[in-house]
Amino acid sequence: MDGASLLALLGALAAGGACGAALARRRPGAAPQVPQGWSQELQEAPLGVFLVKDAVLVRINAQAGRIAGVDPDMMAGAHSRTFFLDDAAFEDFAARAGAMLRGGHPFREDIRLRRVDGSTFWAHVTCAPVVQDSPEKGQLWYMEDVTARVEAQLDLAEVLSLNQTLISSSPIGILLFSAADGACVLVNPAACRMVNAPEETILRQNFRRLPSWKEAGLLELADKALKTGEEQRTEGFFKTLSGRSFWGAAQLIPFVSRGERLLLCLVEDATERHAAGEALRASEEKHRVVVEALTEGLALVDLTGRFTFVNSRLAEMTGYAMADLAGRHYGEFILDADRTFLLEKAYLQRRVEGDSFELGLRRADGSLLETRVSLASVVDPQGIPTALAVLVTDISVGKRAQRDRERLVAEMEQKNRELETLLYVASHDLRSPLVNIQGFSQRLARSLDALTRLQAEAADLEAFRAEAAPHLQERMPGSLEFIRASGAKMDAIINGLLTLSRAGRMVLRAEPLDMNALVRNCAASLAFQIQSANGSLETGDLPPCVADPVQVAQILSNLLDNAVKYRDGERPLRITVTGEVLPDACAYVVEDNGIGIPPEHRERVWEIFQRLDPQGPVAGDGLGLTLVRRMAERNGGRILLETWQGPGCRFRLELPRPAAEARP
Amino acid sequence: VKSPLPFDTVTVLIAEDDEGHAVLIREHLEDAGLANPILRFRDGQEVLDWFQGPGRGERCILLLDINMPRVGGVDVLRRLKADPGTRRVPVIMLTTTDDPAEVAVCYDAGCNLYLTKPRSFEAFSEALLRLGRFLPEIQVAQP
Repeated sequence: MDGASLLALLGALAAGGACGAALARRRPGAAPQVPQGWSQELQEAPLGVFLVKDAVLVRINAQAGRIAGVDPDMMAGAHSRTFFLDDAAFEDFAARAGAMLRGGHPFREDIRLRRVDGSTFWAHVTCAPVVQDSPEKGQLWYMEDVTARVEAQLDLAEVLSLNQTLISSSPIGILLFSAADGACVLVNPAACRMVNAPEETILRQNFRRLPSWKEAGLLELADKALKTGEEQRTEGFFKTLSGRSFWGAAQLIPFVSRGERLLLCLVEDATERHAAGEALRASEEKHRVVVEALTEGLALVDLTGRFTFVNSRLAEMTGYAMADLAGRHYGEFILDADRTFLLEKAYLQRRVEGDSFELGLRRADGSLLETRVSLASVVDPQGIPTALAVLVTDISVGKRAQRDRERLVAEMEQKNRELETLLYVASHDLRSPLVNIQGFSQRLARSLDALTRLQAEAADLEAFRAEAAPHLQERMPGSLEFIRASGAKMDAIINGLLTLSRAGRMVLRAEPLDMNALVRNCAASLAFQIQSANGSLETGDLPPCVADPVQVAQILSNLLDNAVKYRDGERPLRITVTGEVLPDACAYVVEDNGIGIPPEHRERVWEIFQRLDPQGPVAGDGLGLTLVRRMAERNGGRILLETWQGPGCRFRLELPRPAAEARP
Repeated sequence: VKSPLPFDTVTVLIAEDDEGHAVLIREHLEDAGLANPILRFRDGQEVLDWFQGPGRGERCILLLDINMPRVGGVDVLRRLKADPGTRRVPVIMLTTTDDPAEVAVCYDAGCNLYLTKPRSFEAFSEALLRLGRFLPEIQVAQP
């Protein structure tokens, strides 16, 4: 509507003042009466126009009908409050608009109105009196539908308000700088707290002139961000204006707003996180150093029994690479399978605190590692075990010392037994020939007495000869023979004792021995006897041991010699020598099919001068096995006479095995 | 010379592995006038075998050496004393030592007398005589 037609309308309204009363009398629904001055132009204007008098609609144009969703003709005479949300909204509007118009001012406002169908819309309403300064004579309400604009404005306001809230309440420090001059244009409270300075102070700063930015490398990074247009990140100690230092994580983001290049700086105070991380790192480092410095092996075992962690010491002790141990089941390293089961029951299925026991482990090379293990459960916050920590102490050295000590004690006891045996031999075996010497000496003396008496009393030489003959021809030579034999027997016993004593005192020279060669040599010197007995000797592959070569050769010779001597004439002699590696020793078994030893005599064979059948066909000094046992024990081994199914004897000789590291 | 044993029919058994000792014992007995039959055994097993076989029910007295091969004197003693058929046979232990422990073992096992060899060959006759006094009682009612 142009100004001319509007003025014409206003003039018409002012001239026909009487029409107001007519309008007032009209009832709604009555045929519309076109007021004076309501031109065709007004009727078809692109602006909604309401002619209102005394709050009652006199006329509304087509556009107003479209906006309000009504038939313009039907609305004449309706009360104008029809379009307001409620009476209060209408009263409020009427009061404010009335006041403005009465004061000679137009009233303009965005008002939210309701259509007849109930939907709402925003209208920019302009009210003007039809007659200047007399709004009571009629008013024109011009109306534009501004719903889209108003709602957009409201949305924007909401977004801005949200942004504002976010910026001011964010724990992340937000600073905005002008790229052109480096001036700070925005700072949020979080940034103020971090910098420990008021907003005004910070807003006066220029990042290009801040020494702290330069020191922390932020300036360089900011230039890089602005130059490349890419976001930059850094983390480190930042020293602020106020002197406060904190560990910060900063993000520098370049962007352009309304043609101006800006630099957004987001800063997070990570002092606590950093300190916690540092503390954790320090703690982990401390643990790592401790764990690696341990002279004990350490392993963590999960509840299925698999290693989740091992330290290098454990790997070193067991001879495995650390990587080889990871994920393996601990049972693979325990010598005794039954114990694996028991350990699982006892320790993996309950909470353990410091249980400790001795356990034999298998090294990578199969040798025995003697250990003491201590166990403690690793528990979650609820106290439920999640893993088992296993501390492994190598007690091989202590064990070896203990064994040495035990061997020493056993050796002392053996010496003591030998001494007792010696005393026993002195009292029994030496005394037995002595009895003969004494007895037959007395008999000699009696013969001598008899001869002396005969010499004095005999009638003649013939009588003397006849009487003396038994003495001279039988009794006296017999006595002398017994005395001589007894002397020889005492000599043999004393020699035997000396031999034993030498075997006990001989300085031993332990060295790795090729047992195959040693047995071959011993067998070679017995080859003739074995062959004459129509016998055979079979030898398995014998593992090496560590012992004195001379004494081990003596032991083997003795055993083989016995096998040949005590063969059974009823069957061809068969001797077999086999070997076996035990965890801490090597065993050699010498078997024959000879006459054997009855079970009741098995212990006595080791006693000195014991012979099962002195009158038997085999000569011997009763010393062989005593010496064999003595030498086996002196070399840190032992010898047993085993019970077995076959005829003949089965001797088992055990000698120390070579140390693990000495073997290929 | 009067026999130290009241019954000539009693057999004297000598269990002794040492040839010389056996000769000395036999001579001492003969020198003392013993006319009884004398049997000599070389080890304990021979003694046990004799009692199981030809000697079953024989009236006899046993001189038993302790230290013998195969079966020792103390074992022989125990087995004789454990067998009702031989339990009453008088046994004199002969040994080269007077070790109190060994003496006790023998008396516990039921020997009648314990004699030490070098000193006691002369004492044999006397001992046999003393034992002989018991023989009428101990030799009755053999199975």
